[in-house]
Amino acid sequence: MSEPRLKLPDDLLVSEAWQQLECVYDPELGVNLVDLGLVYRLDVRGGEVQVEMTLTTPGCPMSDSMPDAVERALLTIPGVSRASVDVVWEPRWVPEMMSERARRELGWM
Amino acid sequence: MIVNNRTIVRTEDRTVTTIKPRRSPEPDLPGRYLVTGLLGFILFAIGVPLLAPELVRTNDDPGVFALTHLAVLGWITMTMFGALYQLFPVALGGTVRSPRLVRWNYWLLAAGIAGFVPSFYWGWTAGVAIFGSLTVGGVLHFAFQLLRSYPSVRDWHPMAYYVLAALLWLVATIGFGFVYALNWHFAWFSVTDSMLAAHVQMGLAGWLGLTLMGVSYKLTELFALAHGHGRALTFVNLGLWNVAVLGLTLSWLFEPRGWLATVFAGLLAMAALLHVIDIALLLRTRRRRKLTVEQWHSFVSLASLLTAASLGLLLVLGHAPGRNWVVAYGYAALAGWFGFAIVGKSYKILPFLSWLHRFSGLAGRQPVPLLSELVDQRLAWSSFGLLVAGFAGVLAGLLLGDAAVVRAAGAIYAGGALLFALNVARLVLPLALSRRSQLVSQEITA
Repeated sequence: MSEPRLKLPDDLLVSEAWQQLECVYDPELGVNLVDLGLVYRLDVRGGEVQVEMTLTTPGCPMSDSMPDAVERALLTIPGVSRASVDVVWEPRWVPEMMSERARRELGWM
Repeated sequence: MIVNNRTIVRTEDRTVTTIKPRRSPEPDLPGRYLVTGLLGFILFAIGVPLLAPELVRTNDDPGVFALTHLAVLGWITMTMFGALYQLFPVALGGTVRSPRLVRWNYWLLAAGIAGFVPSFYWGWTAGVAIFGSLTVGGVLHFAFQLLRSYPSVRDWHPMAYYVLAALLWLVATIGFGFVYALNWHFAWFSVTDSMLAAHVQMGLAGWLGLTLMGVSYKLTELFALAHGHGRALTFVNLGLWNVAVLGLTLSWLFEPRGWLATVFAGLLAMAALLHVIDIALLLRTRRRRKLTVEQWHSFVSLASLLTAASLGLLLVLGHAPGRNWVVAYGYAALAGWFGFAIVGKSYKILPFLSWLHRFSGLAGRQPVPLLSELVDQRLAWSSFGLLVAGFAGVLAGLLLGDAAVVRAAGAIYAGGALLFALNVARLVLPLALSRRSQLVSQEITA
């Protein structure tokens, strides 16, 4: 018998999803993807999460693994039935998109 | 809608292009070149103190020829082939054609170099011709594979242009080398110093130099988060460098004692300075301020480039007191410029390969280590210290013509190389073991 599907309000899932993405780190920079400013959009509809994200550069060596990591992280949230990640290059990421915390960690300020 | 491996997604306010990223090659493809390159590095580092008496005497010696080709082919070219197989798809978005043929390329090249270098050392001319032919086959095959893959490049970063030019110089270099190798056995004509100089110049500055510079621009941007640096100077340098190498090569071949050789050697030295300035300007835009062990290796590499360029200019001007200065020039370029760059960049490329195939499947689900945590930093800094001290000592010993200094400093350098190898082993062995257990479990499942 399959487990009953947990249903949570979408706005609660949105906040859970952002928290979960803060646990996904760029393994080269040691800063999470949210603070790096790589996550452009996060939508939840009926337990399905859709993320639009970018990478620091189109030739980023992590272009294979970061979107997968985001998808996996989202699927660990109870109540999320599906997660999809689109990698976009517009607008192009610039360092100014980083949060103050990320800038401090990288020694920029 | 999927067009050319890209998915076009129309959103409410704009059209965005997403690249479906499945581009990294299997780790054992670049890995086998990189590990063989490491072996070449260790043998080179051990060979320098052993050949100290020959090195301080002349460049025209079978042992020195063997050591030079061990460094150029067995260490640096092997490493660059591995790095390009990794970076071509990942950094430029291209697809290397015929991956099965590529696997054959490694064996052809490895067998060729393994026979070519000892044949040189023992003066076995038939061996030089036979194994030289295998090496040439491997190198040309690599160049052909990458050149025919170029139409698939999606990100025309300056690195793409630098590597493209480098591949053309590689073909020219290997063509000259092939003729010289056969000629050593068949004695068709007399090979002069200036003809050899043309071969060396094309190989060092054309193939190795342009590849390293191109890759450096890309990796510096990536790892230092250096954005917003203009590319005008980068392309000016590309043009200047190619004109200088072409001019110098033609001068060596047709007018070795003429003033044109001096002009083009000066131009090459100027281009070297321009490249160093360009990288310095690029680094000024970096957002990641803390300097890493990789960057310190790069600084020594760039200082060595300027040293080699100055020595090269002195040699062309005829101000070198002896042939040991020719060896010093080669050593500054090989162990200094290329060597420190390769060791430094290995601290980025190898952890990335290891992380990608050991931890990327776990990222997002559980905490995974950072790339820097995969490298033993204390070991890396200790290795760096020994390599710098050993390199400076060997260079001084070569310029002074003192074999004892070269031997002592060469031993220190070899110590640094071994510490580096130990650090790499810590990275690569778990990767090799995890790949093996993965293959075994696949067999069991099948």
